[in-house]
Amino acid sequence: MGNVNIAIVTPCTITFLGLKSLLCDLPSVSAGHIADASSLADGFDLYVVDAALCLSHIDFFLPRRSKTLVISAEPLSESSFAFVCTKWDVERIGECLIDFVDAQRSAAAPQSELSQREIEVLTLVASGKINKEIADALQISINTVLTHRKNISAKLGIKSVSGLSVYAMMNGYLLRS
Amino acid sequence: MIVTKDTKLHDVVIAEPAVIAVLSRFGITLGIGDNTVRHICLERGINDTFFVAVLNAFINRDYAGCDAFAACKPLAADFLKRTADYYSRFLIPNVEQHFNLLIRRNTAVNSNLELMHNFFGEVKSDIAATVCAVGDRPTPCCAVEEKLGDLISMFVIHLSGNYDVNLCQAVLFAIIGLKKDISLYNRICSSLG
Repeated sequence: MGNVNIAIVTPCTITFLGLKSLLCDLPSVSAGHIADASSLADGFDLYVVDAALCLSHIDFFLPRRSKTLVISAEPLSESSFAFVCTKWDVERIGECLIDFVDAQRSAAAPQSELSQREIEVLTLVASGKINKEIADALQISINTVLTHRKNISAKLGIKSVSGLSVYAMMNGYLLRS
Repeated sequence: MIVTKDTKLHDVVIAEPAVIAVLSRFGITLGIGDNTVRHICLERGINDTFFVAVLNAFINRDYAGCDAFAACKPLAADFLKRTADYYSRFLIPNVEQHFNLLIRRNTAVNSNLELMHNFFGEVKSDIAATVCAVGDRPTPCCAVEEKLGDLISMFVIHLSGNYDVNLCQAVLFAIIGLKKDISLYNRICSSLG
């Protein structure tokens, strides 16, 4: 994935402008506004969508949940969607958006090497941390952790935690015991 | 290939040599002659329906006839017991023997091989704790299959440093054979419920 084209689906222009200013700080990212969800269509790489609109157009977003980030007032801990919480500070929202775009870029380029964030996740997985602990340590959602783990396994061909630990030791990401 | 009762058994072995490890659990060794599956099973008192299902499930990962195992439950349970015994007596020592030789022959420093050998040690313990320890109640051991897949990836994708190429290939082939066998074991277990 070269340039990442993101649809910000929200009726709120201020929300769109805020997210756009954060997203367009990232390299090779462009963002468009969809205020009326009835005009939703394919053609975007990623969707950042208002929670209510996501719910009312669940038939569209559910099959695209790996490409969707939900804007929510509260953390969506039980949801299968990645989310960004409007109560978070700017720095954390920015981190979340970076992770979301980074995870999707990695998924679209499975042959490339691990990204810096994936190495951080790998190191935490290899040291025995569970998904919740990794999410807390890196200040990202559990869904984003799962996306990173999926991408790491796809790139390395290694799925088990102990296999990932061996790989981390082989490559100096983790001290050999 | 799809094996039927009228398939010549030697054709199966030539097309899929790894099947030799499965045949030995039915008491069939090399020098099998020119006979069909039906004939060989009749001669040796083997249930040919079960035998064909085992061979097909081993050769084809997506074989749809695994319900035959549930229909031959006592035979399947007995086969699984012999399989567990075969792992501890032949397949695991085979990997171990080649792995040890590979590490001993390795004059250059390659601690990745040591790490991978330790990882195989973990897989071995898992097999001992699941496949070889369950007795009359065999259960699938998907974690073992996954870890063997990881080990294969480590050899194929991530191996670095200096090593004896021939021995390394021998270890890899032994691990691939073990993984394929564990996959058969898991599918038979799953179909027994």
